[in-house]
Amino acid sequence: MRILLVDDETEFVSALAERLSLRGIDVDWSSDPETAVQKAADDCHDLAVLDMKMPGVNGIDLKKRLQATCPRMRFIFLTGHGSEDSFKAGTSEAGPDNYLLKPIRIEDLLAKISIAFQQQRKEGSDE
Amino acid sequence: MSESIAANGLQFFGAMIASISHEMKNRMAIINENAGLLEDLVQMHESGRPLSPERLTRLAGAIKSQIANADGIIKKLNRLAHSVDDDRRSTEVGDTLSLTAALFQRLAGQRAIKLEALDPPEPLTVTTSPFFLIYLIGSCLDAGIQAGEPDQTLSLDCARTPDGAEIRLTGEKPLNLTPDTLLNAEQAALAAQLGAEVTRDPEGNRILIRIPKHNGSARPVISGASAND
Repeated sequence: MRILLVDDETEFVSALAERLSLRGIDVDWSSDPETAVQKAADDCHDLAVLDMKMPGVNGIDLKKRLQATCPRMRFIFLTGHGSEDSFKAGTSEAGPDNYLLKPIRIEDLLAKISIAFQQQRKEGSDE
Repeated sequence: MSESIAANGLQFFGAMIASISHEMKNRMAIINENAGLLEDLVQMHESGRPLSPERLTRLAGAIKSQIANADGIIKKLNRLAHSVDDDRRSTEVGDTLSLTAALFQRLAGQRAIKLEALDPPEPLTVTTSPFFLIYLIGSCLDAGIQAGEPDQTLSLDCARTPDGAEIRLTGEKPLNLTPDTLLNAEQAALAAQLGAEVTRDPEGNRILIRIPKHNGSARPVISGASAND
């Protein structure tokens, strides 16, 4: 599974990318949404982990842009926002199982990645 | 109307706290990942992978840097919290501008707008409600951010006037303000409460706030209570 991480905090996203990479996961990352869209367009990733709020763009709008190029891409949202409105917006887009509050536990993210991978494999075998 | 200012002021205070807590969460998230990475590298080392002392030193430095950032955020929160200690006191205008700009930096960043608070050439103080001054400046700043085009810098500066001080919010590009966004009923009432005047210059890229040197009645008067209560 190839994963794309997008978060405007470079230190956060690069450290998280390295941690996933140390666990044998094929990871691409970007702190700029436009670069992320280009990376996905070059070679679709299986799953994207997106920050909900970035300068000039929110995670939901970025998801739509990525989906336009990679319709089978799955999504997990991360946010530092603890408000109920943010939770509702995020979970309605990604589902309650694909939404994590920062700071995250890497075990929780890995569990969600694993579920997404299994779902994707199941969909692939159903076709 | 004064009850509305108090209620809206509380909402503003809450919004600022929420924004600060979001910033803190982001700092904590970075610290969390760097600390986790340290753990991962040590575990890998225990499994035979070489460990670079230089890498560890860089990670430790990154954590310390985020701690310093977080400390700055807490200081901002502290200053906001203490702005309600007195309903009127001698207030440094330049300091208030820099705090308000810092409070709105994240919101501005969401719209790809940068905020810059410039120090006055000399200390400039007025006697007013520190919190409601932050609230009024913040309200005008919010209007400028929402109406402003992205990819520009909004500058805040102040100057002494014969009667008090003038605060200027200036955009690099025109601010597309309407009566609903600048000098709506809430802002008008707040300005009146502070004895302030808010205007927009005809060229459309500047908001002006004139505040008196001494505001005689900074505390919003709740109807039915005397100003001397």
